[in-house]
Amino acid sequence: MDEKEGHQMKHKLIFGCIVTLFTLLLAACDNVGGISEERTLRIVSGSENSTLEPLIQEWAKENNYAVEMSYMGTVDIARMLQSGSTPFDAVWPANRLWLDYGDTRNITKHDQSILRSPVVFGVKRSIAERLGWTDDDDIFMDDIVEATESGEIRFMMTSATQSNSGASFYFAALTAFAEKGGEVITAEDLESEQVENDIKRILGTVDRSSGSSGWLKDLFLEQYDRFDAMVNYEALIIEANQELIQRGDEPLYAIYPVDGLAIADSPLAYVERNLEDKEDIFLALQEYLLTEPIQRELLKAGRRTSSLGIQLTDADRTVFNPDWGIDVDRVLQPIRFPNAEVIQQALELYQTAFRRPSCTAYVLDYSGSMSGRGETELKAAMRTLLDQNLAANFLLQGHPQDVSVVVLFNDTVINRNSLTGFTVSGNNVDELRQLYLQVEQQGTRGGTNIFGATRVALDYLQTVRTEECLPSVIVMTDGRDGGSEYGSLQTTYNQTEGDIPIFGITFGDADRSQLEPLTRLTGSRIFDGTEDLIAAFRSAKGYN
Amino acid sequence: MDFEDRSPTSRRLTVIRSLIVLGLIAIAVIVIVPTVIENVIPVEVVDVECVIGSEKSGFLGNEQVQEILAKDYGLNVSFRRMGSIEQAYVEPAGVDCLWPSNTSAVEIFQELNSDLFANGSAKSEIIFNSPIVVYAWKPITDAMIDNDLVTSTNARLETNTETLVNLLISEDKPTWTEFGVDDLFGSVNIITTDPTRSNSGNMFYALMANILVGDVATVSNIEAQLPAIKEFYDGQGRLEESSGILFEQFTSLGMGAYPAIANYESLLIELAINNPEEAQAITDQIQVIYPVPTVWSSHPIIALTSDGNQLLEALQDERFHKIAWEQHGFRSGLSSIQNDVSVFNIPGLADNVTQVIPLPRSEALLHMLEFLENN
Repeated sequence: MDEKEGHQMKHKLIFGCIVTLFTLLLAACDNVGGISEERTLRIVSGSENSTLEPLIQEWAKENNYAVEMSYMGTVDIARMLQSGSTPFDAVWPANRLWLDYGDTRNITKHDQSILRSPVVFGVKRSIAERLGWTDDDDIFMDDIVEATESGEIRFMMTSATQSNSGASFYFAALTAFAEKGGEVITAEDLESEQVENDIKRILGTVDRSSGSSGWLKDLFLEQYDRFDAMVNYEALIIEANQELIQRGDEPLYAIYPVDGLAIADSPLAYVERNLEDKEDIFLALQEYLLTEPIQRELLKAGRRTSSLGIQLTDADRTVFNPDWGIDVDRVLQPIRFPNAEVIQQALELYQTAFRRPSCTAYVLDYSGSMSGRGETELKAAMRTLLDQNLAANFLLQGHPQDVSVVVLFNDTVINRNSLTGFTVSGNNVDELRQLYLQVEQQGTRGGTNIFGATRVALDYLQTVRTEECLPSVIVMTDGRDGGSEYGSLQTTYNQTEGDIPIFGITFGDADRSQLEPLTRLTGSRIFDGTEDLIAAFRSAKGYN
Repeated sequence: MDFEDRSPTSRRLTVIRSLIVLGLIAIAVIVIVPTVIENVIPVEVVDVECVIGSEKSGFLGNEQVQEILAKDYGLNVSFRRMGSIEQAYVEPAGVDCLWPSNTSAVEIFQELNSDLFANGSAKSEIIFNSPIVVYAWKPITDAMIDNDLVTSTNARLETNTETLVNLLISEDKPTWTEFGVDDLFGSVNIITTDPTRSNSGNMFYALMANILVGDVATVSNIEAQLPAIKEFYDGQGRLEESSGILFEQFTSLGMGAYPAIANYESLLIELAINNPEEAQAITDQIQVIYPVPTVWSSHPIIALTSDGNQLLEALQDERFHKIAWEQHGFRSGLSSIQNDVSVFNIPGLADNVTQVIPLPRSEALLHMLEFLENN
């Protein structure tokens, strides 16, 4: 080999090395991009924190961690903890109460409050003015009942057995109606006729319920013309108002009921699964959220973060806006919650006696493609809702004035001629169990006519619903609509009196985009049942 | 071949040079080598595994503490956290020491493992103390002073425990409004942690029991007082299960949620130390009231092995007591050490807490807890 060849060979070698190195580097970078399991933290949080997620993702990116956030109703988080098994590394419920209530197996630790926010009654400002509430600091629960009963206010609140804001308002109202004057409600108070009457009066005027506070706020903004008020966190009233002002709508005015107020304290807790790496990531994240700059960011986002008392001295008054009724100077006296037994008893009473009854039509896909896992899970899900012993595990039991209808469909409505036999009025354990057995006996075959079946259900629900109940339709499907009846469903819906949300539950090959116009039209939402159909049914039911 | 110069001058120079070299070697041997050895081959460090109450994790995690333990005592302490009563039931194998926050845990542990104490392999000693105090927001203490529930002497606030307990359990408790606090609903109350699950709540209820009995409560004399204690407990509703969390809730949720609480004295000191910029605001708004008499929350260490015993001995070192007080707010359990309150700028902190009554024995306490839980 002459010198020239030698040089060329050397250059080739060097070039080859550079290429190899570059490839190796790229490969290495690839590994960093796809962050390893050890550097991944999974957090389940109440939906009220969803607007704070960018802050967390920014931190994760800077530190080369992956944080996966999932959102669930706070009470559902508590129930998951009760079961002792969870796929999450950390939980972020709205109130420490639920950590205590749920974590009976002591699997959480390092819990620290990240922020605080009182649960308030946010009502359109002009209505608050008309009622004289903008000039009066002392609004009592009774004042709210009177206003909602007079038809002056159409309001929404989350379900007390699914979400903390609803539960907080419920316990606050119970405390006020029992005239506890700062003391704690007892088991005897729950049995008092007067308390029962008053709580039924206020819950009976709820015009829309939901399983989560964040979604309730979104729904309120979407359905602004249909509702006048919502029970929600002060922070979410602020968020809603920011959007309302931006689009030129009238903002909400926050009422802090003097005799019935609760404050969410949002504890972030680690779930012990003996994974040391995860614990370190958790502690680093928690420390970051409690640093001064991030606490200031949270304050800007309408969360109360003062470490000394609930009042705020340095809050931005364009965020904590006094024109919206936001009052950061007042001494807030939250109710004291009862012990775990009384909490359990009160939640059961809410579900089985005090809440507004619900009239629900379940529209279930029995097409051929459901055969196998779909069919098994669908039947298990219906059993969870209809078997009252199972339903009790999720605080989803029936109410004496509930109406439950099951509509089975494939190309047509399978049980069209026997819908009466698929209807149960009330919460009789045997009748509901019989309804489940009928669902269980049916086999799957044929095609998918989602909208035709939904129209039949809607029509039929009109004939069996009562005036007291909150009506809704829950449509579960695993496929694409093969019919052409969306138009006629829309016509039927528009002719139907009142507000009937039509919820969707998707499974298998279901086309979300087909259901979206329906949920938009009726102000509802779609639950993804692909991973866990039973959980999706539970969540959908929790909205009713 | 050249011969070396052997003149007397050159010989002297050689000797001097040799002496300098020898001197340098000597300096190296005396000064440098030990340092090198110390750094390269450290003194043998023994690992000590302990189970401790979480309130002491700050102290054991303190770098100064770890350094003294390693350098001067050859000890490296690792720990896991556990509630005091749970510690009493720990299986001793593989554990060098326990460090609960009350003497009842020691009593129960001793009863269950009497052989270890009989043969001398186990031993216990109180290292730190922290009195149970009442914390209240300024408007609340002002109202308590106006209503003769609290006295103020040179900024030090005290309450007669007997008067306080009798007020708490009375049928017609005064309301906050009657006390002159117009912002608050409800009757005058002191909120604690859940006595069945947490030590500070447990201590306050033990203090109540002693006061109601008029002496140190026992299984027999506490019986008549249990219904009154239970009624007070039932009226409290849901209580927190950790002293640290109760204190955090008290400070962050404010006067409306928690007008007054009972908790460890060390917590306010630690909060003020860790938040120097806010210390003034904290101590302006939150005040310490000493019940007279009160009870000590003691922090007795139980050494179960010779390594554990080395730690027990090491913890007698005054430097640890200075750090524990000045950085973590724990008073020394050693009678020879006087804690200096002037190191903190916290008005009202007591120089000495002398009026202390002993805790009931563990069987009386367990009897009371059982009554609270099961009746």
